[in-house]
Amino acid sequence: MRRALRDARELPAVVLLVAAALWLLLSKPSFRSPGNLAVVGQDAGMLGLMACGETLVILTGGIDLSVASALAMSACLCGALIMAGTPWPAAAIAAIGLGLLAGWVNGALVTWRRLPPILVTLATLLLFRGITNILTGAAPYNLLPEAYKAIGRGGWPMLALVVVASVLSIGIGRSRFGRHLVASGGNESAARLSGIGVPSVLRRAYALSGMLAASAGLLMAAANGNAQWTLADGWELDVIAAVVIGGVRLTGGQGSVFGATVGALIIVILRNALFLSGVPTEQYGLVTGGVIVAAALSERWRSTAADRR
Amino acid sequence: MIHYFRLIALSIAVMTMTLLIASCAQEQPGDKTRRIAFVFKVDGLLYSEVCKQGAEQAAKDLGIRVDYLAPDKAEVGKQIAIIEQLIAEKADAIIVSPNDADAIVPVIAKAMDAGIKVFTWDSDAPKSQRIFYVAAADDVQIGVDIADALAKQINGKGKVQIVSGGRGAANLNLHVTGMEKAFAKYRGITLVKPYIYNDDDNQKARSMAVAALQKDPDIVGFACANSPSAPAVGEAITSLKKIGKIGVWGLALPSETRSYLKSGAVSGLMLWDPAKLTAFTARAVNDYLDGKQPTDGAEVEGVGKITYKNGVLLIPGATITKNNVDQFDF
Repeated sequence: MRRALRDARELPAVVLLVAAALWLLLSKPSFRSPGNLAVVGQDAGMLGLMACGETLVILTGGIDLSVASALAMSACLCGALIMAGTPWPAAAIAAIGLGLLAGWVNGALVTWRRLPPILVTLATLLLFRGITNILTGAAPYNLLPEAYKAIGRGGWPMLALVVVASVLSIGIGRSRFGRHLVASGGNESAARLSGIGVPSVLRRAYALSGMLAASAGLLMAAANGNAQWTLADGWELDVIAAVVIGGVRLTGGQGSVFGATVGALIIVILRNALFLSGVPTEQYGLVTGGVIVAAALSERWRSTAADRR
Repeated sequence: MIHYFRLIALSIAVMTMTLLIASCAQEQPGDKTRRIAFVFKVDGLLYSEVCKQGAEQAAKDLGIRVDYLAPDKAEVGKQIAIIEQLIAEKADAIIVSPNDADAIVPVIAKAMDAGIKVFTWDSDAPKSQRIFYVAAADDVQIGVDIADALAKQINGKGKVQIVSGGRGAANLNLHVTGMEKAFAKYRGITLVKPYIYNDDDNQKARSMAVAALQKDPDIVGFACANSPSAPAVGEAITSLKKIGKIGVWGLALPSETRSYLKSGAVSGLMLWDPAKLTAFTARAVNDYLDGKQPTDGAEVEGVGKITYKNGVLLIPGATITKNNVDQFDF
């Protein structure tokens, strides 16, 4: 029992989340107001979707820095298509397709000549956002129909996150792709030797990450009633923070989509709590930074405990 | 698989080449034409694109060559490099919106020494040798105007939340200073602390506005200093079904705010037309090169009454509400 608890990588994050949520629900009426819970759910839904995709990539031992740029690029395509007269569901599907393609390009560059993922996705972080800036002429796409804007409102982003995280959690445990994904990150040469097509697994992981970023982008553009090239600028760092806080090992092989989802909720809820408590925004980084250090320390404790066995 | 990859690599290469060729292929008129060059802070902002349209219009109207240049990052070093290049090419006049008011001083002196007339627009470098600075109202005054309009709407009483972008942005801080100065005149108005700084991020701007209304449900007005905030606060108010109960004034582009002005979620904007400002600047500089100084109090067609004091040339700003927003196509 104790061993099982110690091996649950998500445990510290879950404890922190439950404690924070309980404390806020009991002590802060402004936190539990429907309007506030809705924006917390929306922010966490969007961040969480990106964190789920990021987790798949990090499980393979890679990293995807381009998620926020892929988000903006896809959201702008969706906005441009809608304003050109395309029905919004068709525009949304095209945008998700673009996210998939963007992720696949990352995966292809990473597997071809085995380029370092951090370098490839740093380049595409700049390229995707740059292309979006140039092609849109920095203009906003903000004449969007109410039916589309509704998907970013209320509890829909949170629902999307719950569905995606559940499907991925079950999928990683039960499908061949899921086992190969974890195996590629745990020990790549062993995975190769046991006949796993590592390059194809990697490409699919990056493609899924791009696709989930695009989905988050659709929701964000809908919530804001505006798709613009600056959307989610800099969010990739929050995404990686969520994944790390959720107990996913940054070098790959260990961790879960569930953990990353909890990590995203922690980041958003803590920020909201600080805001509602009247803490100036410049201090938020201290808290998120502190939580990341705590997550890193608990990871260290866990691995030394595992070595001792 | 390799074939697909080559195809993608090839298309990326072709796209890059096309962009490079397109950017080099600007026409080069004959040497005799007068040449003035705008150097903006950074490429790729909608604001900058609109300024550029004004510069292009001025080139047509004045029959001179007007270049519009901007670095890819908002760094003064890159602007200095552009100005050095313009000195080498012997442009007739340079008009710069400096990223750093002090660091730009030496290169302005160098250009003036080389016989090139230097001006500033949009942002000033007051310690430099620039001949004059052209702007629309001034940064503090815009803040005062926003605050006064909001105070009038809420009858001078209630809680007001000031919203800005980054804490380090000099022009935004001047807007905030103007707001504080103006709100201080109204005894009934209290400012909610701390102010919201949303890093110019649409999503953060919206969710922070919603959270602000949970933290202080009795907020009656938002005064927005940065351009993403007014539409984002408008969206927040729309989703909370509080249209008409809360006043929202700010500084934003009409294209980003039009639907919220029309629905009443945003009350109004204080701003200027960047294209008009830039075109007017080109005209004033062209006149100066012809030996004509600007005149304080002159009525300029299509611009309004200008003021010219101590090397600062101001054109009037505009109040934009749902009644006139359709006249502004930027």
